[in-house]
Amino acid sequence: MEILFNTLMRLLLQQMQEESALTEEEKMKNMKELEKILVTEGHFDEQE
Amino acid sequence: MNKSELIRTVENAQDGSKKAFEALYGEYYDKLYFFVLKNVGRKDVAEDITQESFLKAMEGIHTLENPENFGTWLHSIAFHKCKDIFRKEKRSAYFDSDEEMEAVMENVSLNEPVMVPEDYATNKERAKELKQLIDELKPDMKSAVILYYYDNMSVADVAKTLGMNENSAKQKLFQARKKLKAKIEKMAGSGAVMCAVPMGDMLKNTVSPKYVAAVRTSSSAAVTSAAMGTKIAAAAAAAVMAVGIPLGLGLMNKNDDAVIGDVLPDESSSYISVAYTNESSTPEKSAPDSSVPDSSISESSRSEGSAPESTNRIILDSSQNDTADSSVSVSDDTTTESRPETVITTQNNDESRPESSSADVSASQTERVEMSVDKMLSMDGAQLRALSNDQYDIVLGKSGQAASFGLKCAAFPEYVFLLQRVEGMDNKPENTIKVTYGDFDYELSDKIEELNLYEGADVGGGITVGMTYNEIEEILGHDIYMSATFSVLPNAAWTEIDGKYWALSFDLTDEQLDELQKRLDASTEEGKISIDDPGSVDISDMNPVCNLAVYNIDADNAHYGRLPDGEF
Repeated sequence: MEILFNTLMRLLLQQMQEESALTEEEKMKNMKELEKILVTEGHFDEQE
Repeated sequence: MNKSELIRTVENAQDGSKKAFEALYGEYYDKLYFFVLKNVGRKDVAEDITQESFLKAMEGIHTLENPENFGTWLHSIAFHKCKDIFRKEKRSAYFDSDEEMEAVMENVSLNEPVMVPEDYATNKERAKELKQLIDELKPDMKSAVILYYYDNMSVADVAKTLGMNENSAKQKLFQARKKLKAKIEKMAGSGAVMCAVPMGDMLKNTVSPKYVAAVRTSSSAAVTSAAMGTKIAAAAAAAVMAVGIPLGLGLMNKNDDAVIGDVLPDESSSYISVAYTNESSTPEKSAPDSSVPDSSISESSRSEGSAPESTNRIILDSSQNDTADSSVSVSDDTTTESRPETVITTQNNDESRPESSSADVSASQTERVEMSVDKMLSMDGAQLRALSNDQYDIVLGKSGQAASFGLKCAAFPEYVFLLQRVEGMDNKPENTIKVTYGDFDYELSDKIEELNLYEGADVGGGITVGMTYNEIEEILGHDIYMSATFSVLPNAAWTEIDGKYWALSFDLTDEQLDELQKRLDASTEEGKISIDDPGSVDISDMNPVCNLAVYNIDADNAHYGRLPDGEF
């Protein structure tokens, strides 16, 4: 069967991304770690 | 996040907003991690690089002068960190050798059709093999492929991210495409098998639930056509639908109520009837079919003793009866509506050709014929019908304000051609096609007045319908702008392609349409679009897919100054 190359690439890459993605917990953990560093470095507005 | 939201969020992050940082993290983490993982190959290293990239980006965010470039900038930070890893590991095979970097661009696009194994969407092993082909690309090519096809970056942004010039980025993409295409088609093997691909696997994770609910499929049937090697439009339709661009071609059963791989019409669909005629036949209309929901129906009957008539019904979606086009497209997280145009093949009225039942004839039995814009314009309606063995359907045209009708031939369904109506012609031709639509009768000549090109059709100049807005700009080498059209198509980007003047229509969500309308109004002198001031807006931030290209011969002549003033 014939499909457009663009379509095929998007489909395959999207599936590959989903298969290799971190879990929400892992991502949240990483975000919190980053936030700690950024807070220490004074990047965030204290009022928020 | 659209462009304006991104700019706002980055500016807030520059002002020290923690929420803005969290929003950027949420928006880009998955894509960035995937990009890095595909470069370095190890989960722990990819996580570290992704974290470091975000940290570096946030530490330096105040230096970012153009907030809309945040994504590209973030990816370029990550990519340089990946290259550091390669240097440390002395991975000399990162770059292609000069010999491999031959220019293979020729005149091909980055989005031409490719043959795939028919079970690629349903067979896990097969899908794994295909994904492995991408993984086996060298990192620079693989990076370019991910950034271009998955992150939807323009070639210019791909080049910036990878730290190369645009020509090199383009070469990487063409080279990757060439390698992948060759390997994929080798897997597909020779000979084409028609199949209606089961929608479940393909639709999962790519299309919104609302759209999935609207799709009904019959059992997935595999029909072989070994002798012809033709491709069924439903297979292409399935692939297209999987990324949310509905395309309607399917098989109707005798009850006219089932399709394979297509969307069923809703109850507000309208019907039109068609009769072929020459001067000796006088088709009679039967009473409206009470089982059909719409009142504007007439169905021509067979009259004994006259030339055999065909009854062709076209099921339209109700939006085609409105001047306001409500087409929307599917993107990752937006709801969608499909725009089905389910058709049945027509019955040939020529007594010299074999009769066939419209319920039994399918597009799959018509040999595909290569078509192009120039080829189509060099022929008339009768010649084009003959090329398709008289297997075609009548469809409504997509531009203009008055009713216009075209033919969708089974042999080249992406290339619909509209025929000039006989009314107003100086010399009425002998052979015409009579169309009854609503309360009115129309007669079509064989003279082509307009082309409506759909997904997969080659517009010329390297442009194919199905490309995105940014891809088209990339190939044309200039920006394109949307304007209001005051016709069946509410808006389009008018541009010259290969010496012809085209109107390109794009799949937009309701939200995008609203936004476009606002921008169009804002771009006019009076603050509201009008015939004299239809607005001019760039929507590269939306980057929608082109779903239709319209070429109107009169508009073309007017554009190039070939019509006297006032005649268009």
